[in-house]
Amino acid sequence: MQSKNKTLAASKWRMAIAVLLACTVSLVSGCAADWVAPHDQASEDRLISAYERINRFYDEITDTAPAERGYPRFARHYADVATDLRVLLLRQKTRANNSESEKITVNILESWEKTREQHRRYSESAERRKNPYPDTKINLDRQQFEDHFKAALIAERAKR
Amino acid sequence: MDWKTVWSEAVGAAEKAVKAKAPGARKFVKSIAEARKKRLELLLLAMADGALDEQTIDEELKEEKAILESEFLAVQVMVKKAAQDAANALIGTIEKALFKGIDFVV
Repeated sequence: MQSKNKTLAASKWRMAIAVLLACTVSLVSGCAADWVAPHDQASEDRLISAYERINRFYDEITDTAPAERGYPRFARHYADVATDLRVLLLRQKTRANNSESEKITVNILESWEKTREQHRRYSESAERRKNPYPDTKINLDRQQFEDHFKAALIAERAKR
Repeated sequence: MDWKTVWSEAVGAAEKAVKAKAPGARKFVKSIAEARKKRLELLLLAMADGALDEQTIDEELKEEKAILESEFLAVQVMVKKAAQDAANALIGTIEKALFKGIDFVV
């Protein structure tokens, strides 16, 4: 009888240790750091696709005679890129722990809208109507988007 | 397995995780300065060409700040991810040791 009680007590003791260790393990597992959003291939693809569209836009405007570079001719391109960037921003906003990529996308969108507004303003100016988008400004703006997109892509790839 | 060995392995795993990310971050930080220099040169060229009005020059100088912000936000992601990987490597090693401990005790 005494030996049966001892076996029962030992078995209860072992069970208690197992439960305690299981709790410790699950506690430690729950502590896994989750500070950065997981890498999102769709966001990366959308970034590349928007950057391609912007580059095609600049190639087209460079190939256009200076006097024909007025805003109305390119208005559709501006709208298409703005839509792509807004969709990308929406995607970034829905991801947890993603504030940095969200802000970079906001910066890109604001740069795009600023550049669009400058083009519109130059096209309406009598002084600049002969060449509303000079080559030197094209180079400047191209570099601006290359730098912003590079930052966005590096941020996304760092999440891998 | 004793606790000292577990801890030393955990710290080693964390260090390895940080070292893996460090060269990429360093390279990008270096490239930021070069990119800013390049765009400022393009800005000067456009100004000399008369391609920019006063309002645009002001907007482009503000743009430089925005680009720099984007670039350092990317650096922030790289650093955060390195820290996350290091923390998880540390926790992962301890977790594995605990699981082995369970097998041994039960």
